[in-house]
Amino acid sequence: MSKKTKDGSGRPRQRRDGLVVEQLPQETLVYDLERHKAHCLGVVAAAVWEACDGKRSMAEIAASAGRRAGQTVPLDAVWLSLRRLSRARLLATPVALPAARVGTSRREWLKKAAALGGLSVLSITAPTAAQAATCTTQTTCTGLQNRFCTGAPCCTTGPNPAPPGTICKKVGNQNMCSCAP
Amino acid sequence: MQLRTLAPTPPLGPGHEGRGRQVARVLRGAWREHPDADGLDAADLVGASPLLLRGGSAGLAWWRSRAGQVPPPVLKPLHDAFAVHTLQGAILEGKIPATFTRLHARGIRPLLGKGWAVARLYPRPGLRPYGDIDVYVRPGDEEAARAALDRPGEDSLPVDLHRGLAELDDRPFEDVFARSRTVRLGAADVRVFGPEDHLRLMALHLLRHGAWRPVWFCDLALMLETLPPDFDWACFMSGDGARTDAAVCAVRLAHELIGASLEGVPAAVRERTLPRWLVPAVLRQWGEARFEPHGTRTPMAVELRRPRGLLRALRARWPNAVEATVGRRARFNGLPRLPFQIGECLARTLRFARAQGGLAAPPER
Repeated sequence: MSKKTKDGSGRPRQRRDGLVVEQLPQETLVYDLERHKAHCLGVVAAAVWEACDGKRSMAEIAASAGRRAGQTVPLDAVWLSLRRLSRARLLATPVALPAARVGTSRREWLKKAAALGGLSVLSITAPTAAQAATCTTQTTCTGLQNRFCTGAPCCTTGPNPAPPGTICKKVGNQNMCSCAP
Repeated sequence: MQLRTLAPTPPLGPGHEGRGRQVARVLRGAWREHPDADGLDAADLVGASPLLLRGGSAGLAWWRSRAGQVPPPVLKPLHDAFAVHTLQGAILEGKIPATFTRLHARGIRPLLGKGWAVARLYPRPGLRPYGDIDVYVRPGDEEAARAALDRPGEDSLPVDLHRGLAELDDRPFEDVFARSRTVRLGAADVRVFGPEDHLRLMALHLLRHGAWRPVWFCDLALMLETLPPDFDWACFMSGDGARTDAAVCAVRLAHELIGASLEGVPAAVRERTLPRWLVPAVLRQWGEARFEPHGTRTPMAVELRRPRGLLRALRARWPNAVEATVGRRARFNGLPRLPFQIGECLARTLRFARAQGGLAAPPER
């Protein structure tokens, strides 16, 4: 059975760069500043993620996550969480499933996840909230000639969200405005 | 808490106002640490969800309804909104100390209002979304402040820089500054408005924008229910009489619409009778799903180049009764609002035409 991450270390490491993390009582929220995606980790998934320091083995991760989550975390739960964390690109290197688990169908994974609970790694799509009366949508901004750039923050929600922290402004010699940092 | 079942669906009432009422019912008490979910109606939650998401009050709706037997598909988008707002708030919060450090380095003493200054009062981050950092500087400091914030080669900051005190410009800056409070945030000391000034600012700001976001009333409700013991109502009510009356109306509206407690509030505020048109006007605005708020509209100068959409653009700019009253500096009384709306529309058109002539002023939105 192979239990190696793709870098061959077999000891998964939590990704740290380019993430904003907010810990709430029942969930951990993670915003990926590079991909502009938000993720919501359940209690067990968050505990597994925290335990991935690049030094711990799978059994050690299970033990550490169990202590953090206040419940027994079996190896299956660790693998399920790692699979989901890896897909959400929250690990420094992707995790390769061990050979014995490669054949497991999606339905079986889901069954196991439902039985264990707290394993969810939900990717959140930004809701269509108009967060402030003073933001300019990216669509509006890029449709403006540079003399009309609003100078207001670009909306980070809606059908064409702009990256957070950007402003509708003239960039270089462009004729049209852009949402730029 | 038991949530009432989805069927039979109660009648919505007439159009936009009925939907606005659903929003109001869902948000009743939602700003509290332990909101009372009794009486929360699943049909209201389902019907109001798109409007709650749009207006930035979905997190509050989730906060109130999370303890109830709400079906997960109904709760999920509200929770997702809360999660996204929490993260966006964390990103913005991280930029506030840098903003103040840069301004302090230039000898500028700014004030922080709205946004984070009120979001920090809520029981959880993420319940009150905000999209920028509202900074108020003395009019003479504006140029230096812009230079400090837009330093080449450094991260730009999502700051909405206000020259002077905006809705509070009937008060001397020095007096408002003297009443401000310092809050430690990260590595910086951040100055926020004193509670009297901030409550008035929030009340007048929401009216100026036509009261379109229900979350602004939740702000007022929260502030009213967490006032410090030494809150000076005389200070809140000092200044221009028409503005004071407008601010009082906003406080009364927060009570009428979403049940803000008026305990400890002076009789002059508690007993202010609202004109009959006011509550329905705000509810209609809350229930208008296609409303394009100020700041998100395509500038009129651009709309004029594509006449096919002109009618829609003009309709989007028709001021509601609240906006027109504030824009025309009129009183919130029983007179019909149509003349004020027409007057405000004409005034905007004139401003736009002047701006087009000189291109000196920013385009009419």
